[in-house]
Amino acid sequence: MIDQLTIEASLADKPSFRWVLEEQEKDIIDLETILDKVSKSCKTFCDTGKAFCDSMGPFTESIHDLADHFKADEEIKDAYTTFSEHLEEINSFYSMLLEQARRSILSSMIEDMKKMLKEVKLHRKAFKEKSDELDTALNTNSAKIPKKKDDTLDAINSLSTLSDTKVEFHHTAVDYVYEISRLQSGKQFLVTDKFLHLMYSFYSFFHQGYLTLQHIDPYLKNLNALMQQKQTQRDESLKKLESRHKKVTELKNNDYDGLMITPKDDSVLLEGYLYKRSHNTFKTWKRRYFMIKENQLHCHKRSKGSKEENNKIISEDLRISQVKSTEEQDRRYCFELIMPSKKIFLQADSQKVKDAWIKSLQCGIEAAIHNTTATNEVDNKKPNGIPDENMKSGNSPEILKLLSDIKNMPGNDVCADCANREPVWASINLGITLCIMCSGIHRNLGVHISKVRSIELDIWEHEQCLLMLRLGNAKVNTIFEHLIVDPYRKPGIASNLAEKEVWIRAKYDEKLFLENRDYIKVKVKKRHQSVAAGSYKATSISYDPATITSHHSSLKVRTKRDVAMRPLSKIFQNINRKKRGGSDGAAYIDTEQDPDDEGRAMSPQYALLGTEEPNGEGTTHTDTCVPDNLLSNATLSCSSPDLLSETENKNSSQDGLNLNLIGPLALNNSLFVSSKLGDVDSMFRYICEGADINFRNSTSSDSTPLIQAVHSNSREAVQLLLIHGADVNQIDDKRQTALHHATILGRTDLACLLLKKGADHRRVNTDNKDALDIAVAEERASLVTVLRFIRINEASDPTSQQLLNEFSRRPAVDSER
Amino acid sequence: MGKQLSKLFKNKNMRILMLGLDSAGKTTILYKLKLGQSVTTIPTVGFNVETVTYKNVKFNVWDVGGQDKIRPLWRHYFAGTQGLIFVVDCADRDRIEEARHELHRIINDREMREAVILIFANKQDLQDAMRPAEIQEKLGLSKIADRKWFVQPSCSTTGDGLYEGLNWLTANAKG
Repeated sequence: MIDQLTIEASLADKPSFRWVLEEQEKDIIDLETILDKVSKSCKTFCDTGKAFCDSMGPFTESIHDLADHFKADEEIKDAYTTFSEHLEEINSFYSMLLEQARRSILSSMIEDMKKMLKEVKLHRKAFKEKSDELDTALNTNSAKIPKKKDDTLDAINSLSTLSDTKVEFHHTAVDYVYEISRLQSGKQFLVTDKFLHLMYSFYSFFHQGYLTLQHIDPYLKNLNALMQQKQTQRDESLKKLESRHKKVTELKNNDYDGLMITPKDDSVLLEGYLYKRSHNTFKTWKRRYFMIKENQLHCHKRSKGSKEENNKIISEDLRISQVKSTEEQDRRYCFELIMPSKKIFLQADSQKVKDAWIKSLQCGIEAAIHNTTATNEVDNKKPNGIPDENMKSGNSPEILKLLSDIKNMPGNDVCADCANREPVWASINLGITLCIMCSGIHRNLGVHISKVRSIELDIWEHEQCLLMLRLGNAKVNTIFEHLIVDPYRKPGIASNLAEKEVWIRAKYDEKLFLENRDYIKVKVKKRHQSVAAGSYKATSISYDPATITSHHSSLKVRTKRDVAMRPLSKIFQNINRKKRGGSDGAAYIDTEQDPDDEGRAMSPQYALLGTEEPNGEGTTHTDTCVPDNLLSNATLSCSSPDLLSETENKNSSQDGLNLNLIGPLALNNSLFVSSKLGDVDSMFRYICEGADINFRNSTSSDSTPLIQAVHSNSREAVQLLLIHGADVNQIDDKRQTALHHATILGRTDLACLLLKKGADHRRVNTDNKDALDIAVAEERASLVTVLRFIRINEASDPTSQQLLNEFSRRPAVDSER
Repeated sequence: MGKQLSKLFKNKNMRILMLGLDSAGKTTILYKLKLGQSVTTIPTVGFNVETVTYKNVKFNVWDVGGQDKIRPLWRHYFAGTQGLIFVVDCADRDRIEEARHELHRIINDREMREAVILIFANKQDLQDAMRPAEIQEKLGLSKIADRKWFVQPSCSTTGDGLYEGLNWLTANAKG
């Protein structure tokens, strides 16, 4: 309460009171102006705050988008999600603060004050009016002196009016004073209280915000550490990039062709840019990006179109594609990809790149052929869509296991003839693994010497695998490379085709390095017979194998007896000539008279070949040491290979040198005995040395090695003989074939093996019984089934072939009686 | 008349597909024809294709590898084939039945119906080689009446019989 503004003062209505009132009025007007300002600015504050809050929404949203953008990095994505969530939370606190400000200042405080100010104003107006009225009343009262009666009445009236007015004025004045007092006394409290509220609102806003942020402080710290780490990483990578131009220089210095990108993806064999000639009439060349991938050649444009458009497959199936260098084009570094239906011309930027592409495409084609043929079922269907059940689709898991065993045998990891790594070809009768180049040479020898198969591209039979497992490079090479004679050297990985060819022919065809070279004369004899028969045109073509082999024949002799080299080759030529001319008898006479003979006793030396150490203890060197005079003891007739063999066949021994100690008969007997024992190693060795595979042993019921092998119960032994050309239908003295014997023994597996090789199941023995009769008599259930089945299905062989395959795998003796 | 004349002088093209068991001598035949000499070949993994011109006829010869597992790929080469050369290793008696089977599979294919069939009874130089008559019998050709076929004895290393085979193809294939 203002001191001078009391009820008493208002009643007294002194000028001082009026001065105070004036002052108060001024003060109130001032307050009103300020409050107006507060109200306005607070409104602005609230409005702008609201706008701020509203703008926060899109902002946090955009942060959310950032999180999406960084979704590849989980940590960063999380960071942005946290940021936006917390900012949203703080924003909600802020909008709460604004709400409270609006409520406490604008709605509550300002409204109250305005109401009070309005009251004060109203009362002021009233006070002014009453004050004026009072003044008028006073004037009226004092201006009129009562002269008349009426006047007196008037005077009385005016007096009463004055007093009434005075009362009214006083009432108004006290009210006014009250209102002023109410305002002045309440303004401090009312305004400050509201502002205190506001300050608390701010307090809680910041407090909540602090708590929120404090909560994620550890997380933020971690993130900070991470960012520092990233910064370091970036610095490092930028440092690396600093030397970027150096890289270009390096590339230029080393290999500017190397613009091909080294593939990181394992499925891509090679990728890079090439020019491709288009199919249109203009044959324009367009630059495209190529990729050898998943057995296909893909082509991409540089500009990004639709996926299908951009990823064009040039070669759908590399298995039926071939790559070739092309020289005809008027452009450099061209090569072509040939497919059955089309041809694609491509151009590289340099010779080096071209070579790389050709090499990789070849690798890709080979890999495609090796990998997919076995599993591609579509290919097993005929074009009309009906599956062809006779089509072999691949090796069974069981066979694959055996093939992998074959590859893993000690010694089989390198080619048997040139030590090339990882050979994937094999000779199934010689039991060795070969590289592709040596396999090519083996194929030229003919199937009577070597039967070549691919380990990966051919279908294998069970028994073929078994035999391979019994032989193998290590074992077979100890036989065929027992003693390598000059000038032969085993080829290495780097040897060329010609060197390998010379070696392989000497090793397997001539069999020069065998321990028991007794074989040679038989071999030579055979060759000359074939030449004489005229089925071989030895003279026509320079590439003719006949010329090569006869050259080798002389070479062979040279190596063994270098003294006798030239004359001996002459002998062969002469024999050759003579045989074509006519009489055999003239051959050696001609030899004797040959002026190139240099007077040496050639014929006996050759004869020695047949008289070599029967027990195998001697070597070539001891042979060469045999004095000439001893050699001359040998019969002259031996100079002709034909006559020599004849001599042996008669088992004649002449002039102190026993020629047949290890002659064919002994060899044949050895094969017979080892077959009886099922000793595959020895059998193989005797076969290589030239034993007669169809030898009928007159001392043992005319039995054959095959029949003996059946008795030995060894599938490998039977397979070995069959694969080396044993006659499956040869009979013994009871006219029984190997099939008869297998049936008697109840060996279903061996019987099936024989049947597969064409054994005649209708052949009868001396008791007029065929295999089925015996099987029935012996109560061999599964054999009876097999034989009956074959007889019924003789017309449609494929099914019985499958049955034979199945049964030949079962090693057990048929005991179902 | 003019058309026939131009046909006479114009180079004729012929698409030839050469198949057969592995190691029959297909690639050796191809290069003997192409280069005129006998080369030592390695097994064909995939195929070779060469153009051989003989007596105004351009033979486009496709020689496809014969290993078991790549035989299913043969049919990709069938389309447009005018002449089939089927090569047989006459010394390989063990597999003549297999050869018969493969031959019949090829010639019974719809896409090969138009092709004439030339059999090279190859490796006649080897001892004990089966003669053409035996090959004809063992391949079951005698039964085939609705197709043009011919068995030509050959030796791919010397080249004997190869051009005789091409002559037969020229004379018998449909233009």
